[in-house]
Amino acid sequence: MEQSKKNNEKNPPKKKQKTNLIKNKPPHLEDMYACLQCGYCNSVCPVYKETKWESLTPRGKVFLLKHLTTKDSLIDKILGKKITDYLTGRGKISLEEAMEKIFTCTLCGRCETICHVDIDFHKYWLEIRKWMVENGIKPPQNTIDMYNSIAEKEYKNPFVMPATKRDEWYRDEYKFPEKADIVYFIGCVTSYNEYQLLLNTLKVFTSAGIDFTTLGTDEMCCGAVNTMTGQWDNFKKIAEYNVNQIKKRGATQVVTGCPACYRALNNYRKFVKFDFKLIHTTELVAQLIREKRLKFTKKLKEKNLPVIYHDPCELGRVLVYEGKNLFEEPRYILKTILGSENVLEFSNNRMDSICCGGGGGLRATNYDLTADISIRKIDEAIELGAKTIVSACPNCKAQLSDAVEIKKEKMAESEEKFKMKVMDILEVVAKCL
Amino acid sequence: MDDLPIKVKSSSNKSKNQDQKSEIYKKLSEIVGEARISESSLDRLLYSHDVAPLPKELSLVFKTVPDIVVKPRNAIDISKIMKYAVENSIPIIPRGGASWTFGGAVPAYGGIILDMGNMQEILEINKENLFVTVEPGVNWKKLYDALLKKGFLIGSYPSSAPGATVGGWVNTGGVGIGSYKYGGIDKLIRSLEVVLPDGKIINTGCKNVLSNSSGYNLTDFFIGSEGTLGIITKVTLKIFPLPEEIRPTSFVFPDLEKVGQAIHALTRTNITPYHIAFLDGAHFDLLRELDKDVPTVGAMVNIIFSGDSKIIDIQERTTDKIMSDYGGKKQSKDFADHEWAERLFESKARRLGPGLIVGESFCPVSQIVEMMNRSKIVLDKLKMKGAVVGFIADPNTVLFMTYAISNEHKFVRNMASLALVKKLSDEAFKVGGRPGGFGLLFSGNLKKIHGKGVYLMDDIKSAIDPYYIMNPGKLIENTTRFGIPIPGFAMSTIMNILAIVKQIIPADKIEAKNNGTKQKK
Repeated sequence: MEQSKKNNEKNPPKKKQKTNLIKNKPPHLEDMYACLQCGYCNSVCPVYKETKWESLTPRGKVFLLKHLTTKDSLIDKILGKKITDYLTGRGKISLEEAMEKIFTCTLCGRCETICHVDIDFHKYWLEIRKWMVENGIKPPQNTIDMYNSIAEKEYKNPFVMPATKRDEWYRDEYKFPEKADIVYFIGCVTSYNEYQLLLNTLKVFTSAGIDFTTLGTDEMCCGAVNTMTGQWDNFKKIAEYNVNQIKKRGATQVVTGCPACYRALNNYRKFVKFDFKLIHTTELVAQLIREKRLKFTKKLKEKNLPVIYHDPCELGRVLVYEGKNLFEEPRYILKTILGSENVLEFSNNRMDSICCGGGGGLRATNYDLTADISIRKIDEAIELGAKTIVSACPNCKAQLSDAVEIKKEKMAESEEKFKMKVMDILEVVAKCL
Repeated sequence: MDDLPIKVKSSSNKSKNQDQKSEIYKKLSEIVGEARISESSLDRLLYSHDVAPLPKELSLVFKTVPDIVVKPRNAIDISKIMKYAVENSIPIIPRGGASWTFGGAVPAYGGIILDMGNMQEILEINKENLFVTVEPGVNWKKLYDALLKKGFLIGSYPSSAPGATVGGWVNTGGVGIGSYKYGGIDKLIRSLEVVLPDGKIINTGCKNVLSNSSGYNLTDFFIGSEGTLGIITKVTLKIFPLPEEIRPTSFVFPDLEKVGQAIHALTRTNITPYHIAFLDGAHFDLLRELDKDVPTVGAMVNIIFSGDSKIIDIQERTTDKIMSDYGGKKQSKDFADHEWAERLFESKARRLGPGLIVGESFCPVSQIVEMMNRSKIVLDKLKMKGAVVGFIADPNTVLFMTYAISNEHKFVRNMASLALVKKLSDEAFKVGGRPGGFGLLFSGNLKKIHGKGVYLMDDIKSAIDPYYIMNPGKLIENTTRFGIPIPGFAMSTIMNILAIVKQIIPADKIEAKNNGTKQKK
């Protein structure tokens, strides 16, 4: 960690090298060539829906990559590339601009559901970002800042918050044992921004009498930010560090409420050996309910009903692509606690769920765009008569709550008023205990 | 066509200095705002193509890269842009989903691309008078789903529904899924709102009732006009009450010939299925190369019924009888449902090339067997691997969408593969049919189809678009970026030479590669 920190200070974050995208072929070339340019993906892309620019669609991005990486054609060889580009009017394409386009994506993977030629986009975009960064193209500055903040020993999170403050919200109230069977991996968003969710999760776990502990101030960002933004070079170190910390606690299971953490921890397997089981809080809570270890005595306030469940991309669709299906656990929990009549569905749900906008690091690079995507989601929830949007991802919760505020601001002038609460599923569970 | 006033000059690269460019930019951004306009080389590049795998070299002949991309908000924006374009003789190319294979939305002279994708509101679903009014950028699948939710059915939609836009399909005069029962787009339109090159905004029909009794049928001018007459800004379509049931059925045949005979027999009855599609067994063989779990069949027919269940029962029984008379074996419901779900995904074999050439042609149902055989011979002669697929557009029209695999990595071979389109249209003419669209390369066929009628088309074009700014170089006459027209015979000679080349050079190797994101089992 020390070393990577030094590296970052000197030449942040990658070595300067001559970019040759034609020689250093991108991963999954076949997919790029297979693309039919049919544009089916445009119809499901949340970013395209708001921006309507071809360059921000999966189709456009693939075409762009193809252009950037294709060898000189016959005519290029005869006339020379510069002359051909001049004659064909193509002009030079700025790699920074290309990078910005590639990064304007929530990585929701919905394009994969409709791809004509079966490109596994959830994998594809991650690897393309990685490849671009490896080729020395600078990712957006905010993502570099997050990378540096994670690598910094004093922070260990993407938000430049002191590492010592990680357990600030709960250290006075809860004392956890040194060792326990389950480690609750809290995650940075929950630790620093979503204290209600954090406290409610702890409340649920304690009242079910689970033998668990947290990593306290030893927890480091799971590295999801690194994988999403293509900056993989210290991911192995992060993996080793966090796995070591978990092993120290003697845990056989790790539970996390954050789907991004869940996937990142799962990714650790490629770098470090470990044998603890990884579960999401919804899995654990569903199990607790089935075993009748949680007693529900209260009800959610009538004015907050009915709720509508939003499938986080990384807990839903993307997880299915990676071989695990967790669509039903959250629904089981909500329906058991609130009754099926109080749980609504978005018209696009499960595999077809529309991203809240906050995924893929887009929240850091293009906040306004993410807000537009979320507001559309909120509008649908209002139209369907929901009073609360429930999600199972701290990032979705933060994103949607922000968007509710933005929408309220926008509507401050108008006569119309709306009410929409955004909750995490664990908050619903805790409130009904 | 020599008398056509060609006033638009391809913007030469020499004169394209920074000041001139920014002047267009400045002027247009006053109209639509800077957020809806771009002239970065990245954006322009992405609007220089459609589904057709045209090689880069073609942009030496046609200026396929536009000068500027604009996303208008409404008809008024477009009207202003039109006036500006006329004053400055700048070509305007409307672009929908760019999911066509003839280069209709690809500029021939550069100019302004109007990305209609920005206008995708469904404006009104009228339950009393059964119509829907939409903006042209609305995606067909979204429209289909939105109407389904409200209990209505859109008559027919393109087989590229998730990518295609309403405006695009109107401009290409489409037929598609459901056309057998409800007709193509030409039978579905009540009215169009069109911005003419002089900036006038007109309505062509009457949204509540039949668009025309007597009087010139303005709507039909714009159907299939490939964007050469005006910009469609609103489309009012008929809608239909949701049928009680949509029931797909599938029949497997030993070979294509039997399929042809069975379809011919079916179309000579009073049964009107929603859709009839046929697929060559070779289509499934290619999919198997891609590791797909597909049946081994000689050929397949999918017949989809819609309407009241009891009536479907009767129609299905008669259909079963006809199909089995020609050796068709009925498949299970799951099988048929799966085939129905796959209806929009027929080009998966592209991955094998990588590359795919589609030859669209219409032929009479009475000649369906003949055309199937001829298509196969063409594929064999050109040493191309592909499949004869298509659907029945009306009781006497088959739309063949025969495709073949090409290899985009090989410049000569890929160019030579384009000859397939020409050869298939030749065969279509021979059996009394016609090729599909014209687009950037095939306007030579227009005269073959319409004879002297083309002169009238010329006159209409000149009357409506005297300054020749609307999608120039398409449909009526293909012209290079230097203003030199490509006569039909020249194009067909070039294509014939390509065909000979294709016959001489060895066939493309077709094999599934294994470095995609999806690992081969």
